[in-house]
Amino acid sequence: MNVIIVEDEDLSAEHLANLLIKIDKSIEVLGKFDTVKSVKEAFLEA
Amino acid sequence: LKNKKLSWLLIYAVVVTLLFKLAFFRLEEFWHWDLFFIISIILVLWFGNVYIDQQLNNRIPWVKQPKRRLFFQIVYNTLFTTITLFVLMYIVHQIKFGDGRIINRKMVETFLPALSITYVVLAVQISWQFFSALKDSMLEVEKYKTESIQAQMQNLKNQLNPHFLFNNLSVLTSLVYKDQDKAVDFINELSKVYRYALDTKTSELVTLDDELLFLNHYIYLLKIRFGSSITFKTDISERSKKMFLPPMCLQMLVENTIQHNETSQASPLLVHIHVQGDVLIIENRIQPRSDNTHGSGMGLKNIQKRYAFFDAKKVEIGKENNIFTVKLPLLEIKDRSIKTNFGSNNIS
Repeated sequence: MNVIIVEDEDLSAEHLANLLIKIDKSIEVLGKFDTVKSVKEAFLEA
Repeated sequence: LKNKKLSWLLIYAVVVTLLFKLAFFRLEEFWHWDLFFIISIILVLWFGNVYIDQQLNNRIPWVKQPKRRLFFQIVYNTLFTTITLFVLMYIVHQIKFGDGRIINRKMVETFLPALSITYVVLAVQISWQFFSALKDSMLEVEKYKTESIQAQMQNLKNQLNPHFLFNNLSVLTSLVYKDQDKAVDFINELSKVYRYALDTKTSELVTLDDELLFLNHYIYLLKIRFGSSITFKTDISERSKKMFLPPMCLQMLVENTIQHNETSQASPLLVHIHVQGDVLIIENRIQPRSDNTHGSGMGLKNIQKRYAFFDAKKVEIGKENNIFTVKLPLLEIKDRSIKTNFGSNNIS
């Protein structure tokens, strides 16, 4: 499963990524973004 | 309610009239037509004196000028009662006897007792007013006490906001792996934040100096969490630091700012804290979060209520030119009964 984390606190995002991987090793964190806007922009660019 | 009041007034007028008749008239004169006239005189005196009392309540309230009020109350009520009694008694006498005499024996006999009764009734009426005012003021004090306790409760809840603790622990978990020295510092700063919250739990006011020291610990945690996405600028004179404000206000406002605004690398949030005169100003550019859940406004209400408790100037909240501003009046302590943390500056 591919995951994108939207979290404005870097360390919390990191913590969340670690938790997800612990739960399911197949989870792949594709990216971390600090706002919804930046995710939208990244999607549009991609 | 009005009808009930009127009924009681009529009963009172009838009772006073009967007593009056019993005391000053012969028994054969008791059930005479003037019975109704005397009831009317009593009612006229009642309404007239109550009207004077109401006017005086508006113009010379008891609380503000008690001596002046007492003087004018006696003068106006005596003048009104004397003139009204004299005119009405003269009319009754002329209807009964038609002898044209301005003063007769009965008038002399009954005048002073009638005036005395008026004074007694007025004294009872004014005492009742005092009693009602006392009851109202006691209710008001109780209301403020309840609101203060509610505000303190809310304050306590905010101080121990589980979300705040959760966020910090979550950050700490990553920090422990990443940078152990920083993690230790983080724990120290977090403990200082909680220690201040506990130390000021019973304080009603704290110095701005202490509040700023505490804020620095809180800001340290925020800087670890948000990095360069949030910036603080403080500009406060030494004189202002000696002034007072309710505890945890600054922290609540900063928390409020983060809760409602976007903090990102692309749009860093700048919080400016400065003083103008005796007013502490906390302002930030409005940059709403995309996931902005409209808060309950409890934090701001809590601060306003706590200020209202000190009967101080009001907290001002405004939005202008895309800038959100909260103005907190800084207080000077005159009331020695107010609990402060003055002299117990134990966070460093």
